[in-house]
Amino acid sequence: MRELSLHILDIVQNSIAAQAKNIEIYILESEEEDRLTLMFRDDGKGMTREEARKVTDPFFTSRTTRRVGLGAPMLKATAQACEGDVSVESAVGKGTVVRADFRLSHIDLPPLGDMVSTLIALVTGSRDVNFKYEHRNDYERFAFTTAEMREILGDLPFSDPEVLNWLQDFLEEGEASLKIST
Amino acid sequence: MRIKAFAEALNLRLLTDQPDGSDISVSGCYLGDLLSNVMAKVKEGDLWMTVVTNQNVVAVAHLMNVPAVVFLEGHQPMPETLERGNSEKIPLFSSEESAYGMAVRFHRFLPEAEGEGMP
Repeated sequence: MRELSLHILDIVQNSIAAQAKNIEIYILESEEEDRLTLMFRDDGKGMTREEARKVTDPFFTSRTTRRVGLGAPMLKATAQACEGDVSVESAVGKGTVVRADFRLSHIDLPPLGDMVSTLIALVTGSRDVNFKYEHRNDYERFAFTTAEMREILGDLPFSDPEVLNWLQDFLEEGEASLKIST
Repeated sequence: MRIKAFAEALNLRLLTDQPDGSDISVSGCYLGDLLSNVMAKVKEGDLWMTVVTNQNVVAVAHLMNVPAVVFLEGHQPMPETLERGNSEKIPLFSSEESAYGMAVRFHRFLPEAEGEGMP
């Protein structure tokens, strides 16, 4: 993929397809450790050990319309191209954890991309899902949960134009705070 | 046209176990290594040439109805990729040529091929 945010969208779609009600997205960019880590946790229906092993196989899919599911396999290919790897842990009825590591300084590492648009798409696209997001580097941390946001918003939906404006500003400020390096 | 003749015409080495009498039909070619881009642009019937060697290549070829894949610059597909090529019956070839070299070779090949019944 051109950007890591596209991989993030793919993996979160898998969690949504697994009927998760709580999805965590964690991004760590550490120059000190020369490592970028993406971690996803969901409370969806989970998989058997055998299925978890096959998730990164492009010919393994729960879809019935075609025999190919490319989200996790492509993430694994990108990670391995950057001297990293992907691990998948899951249990039936318990949910799934997907972790991808990359060498931060690797020349083939795609840019993170537009996380603000990605988060807006996820938050407004999945009304029943509670997202927990954390993005940190060696100095700063930006984190939020949509549950906290909903408490403040009350009945106002995320699709409300004023809410969207606020959300955009909030996310832009949060992501920008990570770019200030000392 | 016959896969053996096709391989000879383009100076390719066949890596998968296609039986000798197999046919292959290509109507164009596409060069690309960013799989997301290939999925957006490659056309059904294109011979796909790439330096990516992981098995996602076969998955994408299958999904996009690509008749065959050429691995360029001597890059060898990974073992799983070869296995998948065989199980999905997608011929995989190897070439020492660069993308540019193969594009030129293919461009010279296709006009001739049309005379031999290539669609």
